[in-house]
Amino acid sequence: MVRLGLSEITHNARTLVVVLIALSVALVFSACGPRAGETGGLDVTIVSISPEPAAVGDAEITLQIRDMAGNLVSDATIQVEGTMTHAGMQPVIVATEARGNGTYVTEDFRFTMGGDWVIIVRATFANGRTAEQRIDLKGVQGEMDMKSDKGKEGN
Amino acid sequence: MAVPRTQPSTQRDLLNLPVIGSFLRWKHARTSMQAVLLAVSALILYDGFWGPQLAPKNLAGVLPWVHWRGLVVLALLIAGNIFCMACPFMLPRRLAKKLLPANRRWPKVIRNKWLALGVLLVFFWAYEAFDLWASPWLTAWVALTYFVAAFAIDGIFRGAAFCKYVCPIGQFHFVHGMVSPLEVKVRQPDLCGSCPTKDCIKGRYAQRPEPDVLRHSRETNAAQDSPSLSALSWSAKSHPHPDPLPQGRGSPPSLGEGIGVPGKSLDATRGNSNSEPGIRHSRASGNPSSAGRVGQEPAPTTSESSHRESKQSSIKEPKQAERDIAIPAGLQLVQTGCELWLFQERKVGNMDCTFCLDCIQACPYDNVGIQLRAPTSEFRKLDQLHSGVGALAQRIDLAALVYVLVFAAFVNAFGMVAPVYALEQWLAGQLGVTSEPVVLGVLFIVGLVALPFVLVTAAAWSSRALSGSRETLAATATRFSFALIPIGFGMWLAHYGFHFLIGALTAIPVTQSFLADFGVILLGAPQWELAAIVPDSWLVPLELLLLELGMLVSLTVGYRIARKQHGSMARAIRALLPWAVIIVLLFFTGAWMMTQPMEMRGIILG
Repeated sequence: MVRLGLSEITHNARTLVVVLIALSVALVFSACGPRAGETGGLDVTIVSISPEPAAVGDAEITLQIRDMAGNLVSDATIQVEGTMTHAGMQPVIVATEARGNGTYVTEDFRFTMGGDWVIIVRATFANGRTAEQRIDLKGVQGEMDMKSDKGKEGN
Repeated sequence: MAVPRTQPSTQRDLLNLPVIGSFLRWKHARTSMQAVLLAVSALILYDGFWGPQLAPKNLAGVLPWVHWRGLVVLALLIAGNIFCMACPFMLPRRLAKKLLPANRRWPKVIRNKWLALGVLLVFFWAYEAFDLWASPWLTAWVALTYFVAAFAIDGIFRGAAFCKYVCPIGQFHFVHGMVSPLEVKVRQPDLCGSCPTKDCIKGRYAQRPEPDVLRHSRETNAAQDSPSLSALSWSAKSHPHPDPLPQGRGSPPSLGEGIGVPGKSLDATRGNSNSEPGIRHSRASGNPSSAGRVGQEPAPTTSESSHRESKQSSIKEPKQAERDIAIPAGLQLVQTGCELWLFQERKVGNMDCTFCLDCIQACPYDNVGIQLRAPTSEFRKLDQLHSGVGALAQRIDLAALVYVLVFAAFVNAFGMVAPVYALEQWLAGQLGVTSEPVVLGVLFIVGLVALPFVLVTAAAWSSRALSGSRETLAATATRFSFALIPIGFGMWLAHYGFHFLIGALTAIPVTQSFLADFGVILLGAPQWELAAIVPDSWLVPLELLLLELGMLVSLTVGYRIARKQHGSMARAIRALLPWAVIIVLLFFTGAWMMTQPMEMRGIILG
């Protein structure tokens, strides 16, 4: 009869516990599903940004909004948030003016710094339903880019 | 027998405060703080892997890069190494100590800061090269890697090897904790000299109660007298802590010759930076086999003297049996001593101190406190032997770590302002590459290695030449490295403090959004407009103030270092001059960055 010493027993038991913990953690993680984060339900196109190209300072963003069925959305309240890819920055959140035909124009929007922005469009429909769409807007010109462009124009 | 306590300290001691003191004295204070941060870490991991991959909308994007970094530097400024105290990575580490052997000695060749320095360099580079700040998914991976590394390393190696030799965050805390106003230290040093058991470093042991299952096995196998079981067959009589001062104060301590005297003492008590004491804190008594006592009849351990004697005997022979202190089988560890091998009696300053409070819990005389001190007092003791660390003035690895952290403060902040992109474009053109990681790699090698090396070498050479010092170049560079810590810390404060001040409230809408996805509506819809806690107009003046303070403190510390080394004021000023030039240059560099427009871009090349 094979007899195990206490040290072997405890070693095997510990190995078993480690494996069980690892499996439990893996199981918990694999059971987790993605978090929506309020996205979806809208099809947003940026029609134009004025001035072009987008640069630090005041800007006017024109959007065209459709629902997921492809119908133009003209009766929603649209809010636009501009945020950076780095967390912790003060976002720019503005209302929009409906111009009909699914077109909305931002009011008092301002790019506060150069770099990569994310434009988040939030819609609140008449029935209270909300939807959201995010659009990456890379390379908003900073002050240095603008100075550089002016220099080139001067030459 | 009641253990006499020290007289209430005349110094300002956090432990004497009504609520905070009571909490910190609580045995589970640290665990409870760690548990809170562990729960937060779990949320970060979950949201990082499965949440929206937009950093400002994700807990993994907001909490580590805005709140944790900002609170870390603020805590270091106004208190001390609070975040090591509450470190969530310690819970899996403790689990590893229970489950895995944890009996290997950390390799001698890396018993220093070089490995941590390498990890730190890689982290700084990866942070920019892979835009960790913009990727919740990568942030979660970094956090997970941390948990696994802490678990694996401390499951294999003895003591707190991960904290002391690997953790880059810990190194950041250790270095900048040198300017913190709080320090864990002995209240009445003369009492330590009389302490026979040195629990602060060895830990406190008590008689192990015999588990029923083992008693049953022992009875069943009594005839065969299995060695492995007999090792656990001891009296269940409790093992009280020894009379604290059995020989009376002032009489030679029974362990004094082993602990306190260089040459005969444990390595940690000698202050060697690359040595470990021969104590298996967590495992020695938990598993008799690991204590090298399998097969031996346990010594009769009902008396305190046998406990002390057995410790004593092994201390006198530190090379024997991996220099383990012989903890008689039958004793179990009820409170670990310092796992970073800082022997309180000879501990100096905050270097390598995680504020774990193990020493406070272990000391039977209540002779260790968290005391207020002058924030720069530690820099006066560069030549003094620090337990578990050595003399700071002789630690080239530590000096290299300091220089990298100081210059990283500026390089890291430079990564957020517009000119860095012009520099990257120019460098990419010169190198003929379009890979941003490669370009950033070159920038980091130049900014964190080559430039500091050239500047420091030039300053050390000039300092020696001007002062007539005979100290070697490396020794001069090492000594004065510590003078640069305050200016570097000022820059970290300005940078991380900036992010915290302009984004502290962002945690609210992100948490609202997180909960809303699980059907919990907290205070209505997420208030995404919440962000700053101070007006924008305060930021640059505040940043400049912090940087100026850093510069002034650096100059003061530099002068004190020079004065202590050279004696006369004239020589000291000449010795300081080159270092003062670097400090002032760093100040103007930082001030220039603060006036530059901020930009945040991901990949810009190619």
